[in-house]
Amino acid sequence: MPTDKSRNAMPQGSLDMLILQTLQMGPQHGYGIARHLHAASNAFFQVEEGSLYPALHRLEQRGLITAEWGPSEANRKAKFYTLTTAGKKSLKAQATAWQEMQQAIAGIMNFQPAGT
Amino acid sequence: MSWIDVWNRVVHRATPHSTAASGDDVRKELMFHFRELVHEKLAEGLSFDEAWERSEHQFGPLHRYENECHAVRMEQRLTWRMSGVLAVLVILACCGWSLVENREVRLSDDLRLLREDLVAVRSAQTQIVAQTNRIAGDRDLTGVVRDSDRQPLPDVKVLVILKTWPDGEYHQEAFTATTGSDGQFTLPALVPVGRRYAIQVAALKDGFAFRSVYHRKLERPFEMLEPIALRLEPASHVTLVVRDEQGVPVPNAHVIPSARTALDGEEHLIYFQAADPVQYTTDAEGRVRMNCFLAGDQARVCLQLPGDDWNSREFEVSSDNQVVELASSEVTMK
Repeated sequence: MPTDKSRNAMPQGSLDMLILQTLQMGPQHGYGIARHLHAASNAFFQVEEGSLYPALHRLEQRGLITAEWGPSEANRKAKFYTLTTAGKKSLKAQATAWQEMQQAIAGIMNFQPAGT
Repeated sequence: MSWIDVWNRVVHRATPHSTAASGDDVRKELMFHFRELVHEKLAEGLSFDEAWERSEHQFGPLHRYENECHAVRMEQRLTWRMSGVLAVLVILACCGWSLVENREVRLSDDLRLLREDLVAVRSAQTQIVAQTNRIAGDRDLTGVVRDSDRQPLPDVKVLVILKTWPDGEYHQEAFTATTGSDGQFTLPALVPVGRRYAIQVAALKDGFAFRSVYHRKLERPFEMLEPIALRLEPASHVTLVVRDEQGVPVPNAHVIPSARTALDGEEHLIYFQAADPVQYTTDAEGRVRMNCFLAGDQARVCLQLPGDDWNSREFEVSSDNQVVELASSEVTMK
């Protein structure tokens, strides 16, 4: 578990990918997405949950997700987001780029100079 | 029809998302999330204030994120409009001399539309700022009703009048709740935050003298309302007999308790607007038994004879099991 919570900001630009990844499991409202990110990261990331919404609206405007109002689990009116085909493609591309970057960073961090 | 009009039609048909959601939609969406957070904290056993505070911390500033959502949508609209302008310019350039004669006129139209968009963006931003003070989220009205032995009273009708002044205009709404087995009641998202308001709460249960409280929060910082607590005393039984001008008992007349001034001078009111759930009807002998006043009360009821307007009647409750004759009156209730 993290000890220094002030350091647990989400990596720049990763929020869109994490939202898309969450929506790959099925339609979800903002609150549900926030709960999933919290649970799946073992409460690692300390982000204001309101920051999800500008990101969700940007993704919707880009056609990567669609939105529709419907009843929540508690039968309250909630806005549910669904991944589009374009969103799936974008997620795949982002996930690939993310893995490549991870490997590149790992390569640098694990680099052993010759002769050591 | 100008090229920009054609372009706009194409764009709006091709991109369903270009139609910006209303401001209400954005707010409702954020409020849904915030409300779920508060409920989550309450379920963890936190007090309401603690739950609210932690939810605010966890969610972040509502007004900021609402503004950002609006900005995303306005930005997108502007982008599409500018794309439309660019497309028109390209088409104009490709269409040769046949269009050149009117080119300047069309260009000025496009520029005018662009300018209108920019003005609209600025206006929207101004409105968003103006709305910021109103979006902090209305809070639940909560309270408890007990009897004179401090025992919780279930099935009490709680009649609420909310007075607000949106945009400087007086607005009055009525709400109703019923207490649970623990005597508690809740009306969700009713108490305004950051705005002036007044709330009148009346509690009424058959067999108990009704009571009301009135709270006004008219000056900044519009303090939050503490949970309402009301204690009801056992009522004295009063039988009203309604008669017409000839003294004949009137069946099916409607009677609503309206006010009572107790011996200590305290006045308790039931607003007519909120009184629907506490309406009585006279029987075949023009009688109606009301168990909501107390001996010593100056009582007022609203009375409606069949086919007639509502009128008010006043009487003194002098003892238990009193019978009060309500004769016809010309006084029309306002």
